[in-house]
Amino acid sequence: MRSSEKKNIVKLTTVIVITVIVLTIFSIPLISIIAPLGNILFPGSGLWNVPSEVPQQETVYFPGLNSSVTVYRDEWGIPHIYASNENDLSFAIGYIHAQDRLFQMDLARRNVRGKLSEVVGDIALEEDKFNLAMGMEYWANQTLQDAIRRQELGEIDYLDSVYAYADGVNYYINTHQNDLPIEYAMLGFKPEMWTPLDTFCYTKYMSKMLTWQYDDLYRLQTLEALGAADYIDIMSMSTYGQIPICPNYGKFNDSSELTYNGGPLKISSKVLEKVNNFLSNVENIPSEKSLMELQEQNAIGSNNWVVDGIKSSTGKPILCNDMHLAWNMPGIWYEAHLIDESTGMNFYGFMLAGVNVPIVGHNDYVAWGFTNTGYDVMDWYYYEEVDDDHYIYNGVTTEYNKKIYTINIKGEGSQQFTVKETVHGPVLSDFLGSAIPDSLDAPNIVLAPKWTGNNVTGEMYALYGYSHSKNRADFDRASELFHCPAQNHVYADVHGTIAIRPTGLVPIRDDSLIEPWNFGNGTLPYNGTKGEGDWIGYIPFNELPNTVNASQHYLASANQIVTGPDYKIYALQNSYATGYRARRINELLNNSADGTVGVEKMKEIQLDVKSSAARALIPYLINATEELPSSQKTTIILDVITQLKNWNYDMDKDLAAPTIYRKWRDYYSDFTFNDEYAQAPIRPPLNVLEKLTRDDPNSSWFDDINTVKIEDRNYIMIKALNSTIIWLLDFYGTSEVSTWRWGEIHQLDFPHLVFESLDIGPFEGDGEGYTVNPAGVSIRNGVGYARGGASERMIVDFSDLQNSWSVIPSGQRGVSNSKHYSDQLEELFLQGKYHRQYFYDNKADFPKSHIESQISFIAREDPGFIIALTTGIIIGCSVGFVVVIVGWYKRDLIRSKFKELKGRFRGE
Amino acid sequence: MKLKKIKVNVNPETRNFLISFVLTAIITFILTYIPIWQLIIIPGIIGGLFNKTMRRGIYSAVLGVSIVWIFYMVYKMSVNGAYTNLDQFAGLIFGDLGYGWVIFVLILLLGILLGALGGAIGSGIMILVGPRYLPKYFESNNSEVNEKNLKP
Repeated sequence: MRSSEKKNIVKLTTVIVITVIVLTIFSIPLISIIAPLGNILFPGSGLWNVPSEVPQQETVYFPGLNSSVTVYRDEWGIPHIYASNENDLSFAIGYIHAQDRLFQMDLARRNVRGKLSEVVGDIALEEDKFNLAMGMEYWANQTLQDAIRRQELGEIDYLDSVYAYADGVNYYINTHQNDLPIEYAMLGFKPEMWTPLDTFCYTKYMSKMLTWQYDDLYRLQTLEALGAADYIDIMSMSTYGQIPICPNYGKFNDSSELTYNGGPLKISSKVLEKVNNFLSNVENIPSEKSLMELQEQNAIGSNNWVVDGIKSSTGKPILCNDMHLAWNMPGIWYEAHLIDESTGMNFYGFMLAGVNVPIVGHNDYVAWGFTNTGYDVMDWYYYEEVDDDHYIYNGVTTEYNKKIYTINIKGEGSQQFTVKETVHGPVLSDFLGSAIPDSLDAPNIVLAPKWTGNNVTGEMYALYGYSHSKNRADFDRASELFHCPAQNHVYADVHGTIAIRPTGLVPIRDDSLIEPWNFGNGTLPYNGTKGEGDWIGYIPFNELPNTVNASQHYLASANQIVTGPDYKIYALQNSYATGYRARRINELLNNSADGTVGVEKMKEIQLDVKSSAARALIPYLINATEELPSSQKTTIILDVITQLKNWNYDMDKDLAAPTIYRKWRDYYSDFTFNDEYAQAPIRPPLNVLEKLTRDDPNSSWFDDINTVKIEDRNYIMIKALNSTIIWLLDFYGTSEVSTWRWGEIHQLDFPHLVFESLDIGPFEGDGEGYTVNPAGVSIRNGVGYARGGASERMIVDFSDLQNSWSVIPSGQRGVSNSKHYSDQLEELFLQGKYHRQYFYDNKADFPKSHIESQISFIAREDPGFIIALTTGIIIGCSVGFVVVIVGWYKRDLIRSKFKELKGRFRGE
Repeated sequence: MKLKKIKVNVNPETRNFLISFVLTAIITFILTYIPIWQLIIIPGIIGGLFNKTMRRGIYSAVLGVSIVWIFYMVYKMSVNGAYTNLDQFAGLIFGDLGYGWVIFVLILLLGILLGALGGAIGSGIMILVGPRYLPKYFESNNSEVNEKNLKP
């Protein structure tokens, strides 16, 4: 072999090796959850196939439809769907949900069904295990099977629409495999087909978000830390300032009468140890930690209110609702307008992408909205475990019911794990993290919850019924089936009725066996080994609180206490909001000159950022500083007090007073309670501190138990003020108090579900956790980011339903390069603006100027495919025929040319 | 009217270069509709086969791939808002938006690299097997293989 040949071989080999290396580098995932870079970046794949806007004119052929469906998207991308029957309507909304929010839907069902690890790897393994163990998927499936059975018996008929919805989603998935949102490109997976089970799983997901809690366990820790007397003292003050949702059950005095049966606390140290370990481990699960943080910052909750025709300036009811949930991109709610000509349903409102029935909104006759009741629908039980297969329940050794789950893990195959179930629910305490091992001669303790969501539940029927209701009787019939999450249903109708019904499944507990120190009613965990706290039924629907056409002409709920002291039938709540939002809403509904309120006033109320809490506390701080000796009134203290004196209590991002108040409030609460609460996980609610401030300035709570001196309210207030000033001087780096703007330390953030680069924000924001327009944060460590608040705002005006308004804090589309990804957030929500709801029940009336794009769903096979196929066959045959004919006549010429080419190639 | 035959004298090397560039570009364009990006090496190899030196093979393939990719990316950015996607992906890496152009340049450089590698492989194969199996095609006079006259 010549040397030049050798050199060429070496060169070629080198190039081939480099090529293989380069191709390999871009074909393997370099970061575990991100897809291979080649799949993401190279033209023709990944990022380059991500859709942005929907086509201006789109035609979808589907032979399974009964007739055509027309969809107009308005300038906000909100679909107005005109269909002649329910199944076609469901198909269309399924297609559109997938077109706009496919990744969000996919992520939610993966969350519930323990399938996150499939796409992001083992970082989600604990979360998947926990979610599967909770039982949401299992009970969603039981609920679906129950619905199938009922449909076969003719008891219900709406399940077809659920299947039609799945068909719509799947049709979109099948026809857009190369047009998936950017998240799929980055994570390197494709969506699976949608099933009705996924829809039912989503409702369980919402139920969990709104009702799952660890409060019983935290209360046990708090009771242990405080002791019974102090615990009762605090709890008895928690009704202070509360304005009950249902006004027909009396009003509270300053405090409620809580009784304690006496006797020493005998909380087992083993139980406490188990609870402590369990809560520490649970806080490591991202979804649980996020839920706990949102609950702590009062971000989970809502406002709704309604005025009747007398209080309304229009002469007809006006209903308002803003539900407070986590802020994400895209947002939780999907706005839509649905018209089904066969049933006459004309609905406008909010849906969940993944569920075919509307959640809140209005039709031509009724409107409704939700706030969380805070009913105690979940209890925790602890048991002595005998061995891996048995535990002791009610004194009897009982075998666990075991379920085996398999989780697929990206890049690692699959893993099986077993969940043990007691008579109450799944044992959640024994597979999380690394628990401290129990001593060998002591029984192992396990924890299991019982939750109303772990049942066959009927909220899908209820929601279906709401959107088809025409009056209060229809709505009530549907409400009986609304089991979980328990919600305060505010209601208004075109006939003039207003109502509020806090409803859901609420368990009745058998407290006959509880220890004397246990308060019962699900307040604290139950000893399942002793048989404590079994559920013996649910509060009958008609015995739950309910108010219709209140004499005060309005009804309002903001997660506060549901009833006054005159409701004595059943125990309903063990925790509720502090009542500041409710106080302010009540105040605003009653402070207009002529006593009436209109749509514009409703907007003002929804956007109100005046802090009732600040208004209650700050005057006392100002008085306390005025009593200081002159020597202690430093320049900066005087500047700070000047800001507070001139403040109107608006948590305005451009003011310094909100900053001072908010930081001071943290210190005031800490210095009051930290000594006694050192080992307790939760602090008393703010209205307790308000009561002490107003009514008991020398309360022992103000005294620091670690010092000899007896501190009082004013001392603690001034101490807190001094600490506040030091902290704020350090944070802002200036003694120019007026520059301590609230917006610099209080920001609104709208994170993407997965990727930070798709986040929107942060923005400087008004409000706090206790304002009607909430944005709660922790500023203990610096800038606080509010990641929850109003997830939608809706105002329904029955005098003219076209004068109804709404907005969401994101956009309609979850496609990050679409103009509708964050348009409503940035152009409306953050500016305190709304958009009108276009509520035309006839598509011919829909103004052309508001149509941004249109989809026509046609009930037949796609003619485009058939035409293309037929054309291709005809052309192919024609060309082939011509070639054959020409070839025959020119065969000699072709033969000679072929011989010539052959010779040339061989070098002849 | 009889059409006059016009004979154009094109250097065979230049002719081959143009053929390989065009072929590379066409195949690259077709492959952008097939979501298997690893195939991008193929147009370079095919184009490279028409060249008798590695340098020409590399140049023609680089030109073919990069021109198609530039057009493709510019088209997608103007029609589909793809630049936003690049920016968001860049945000994952740099922690902030505004670096989409870096990803654009990176993709282009990768296209150039893969085109060059393909072209080198194709022309390398031709250099090895051409003289033995295609001698007449590979035969050349001194002026044709003179490096100074070799201009793409």
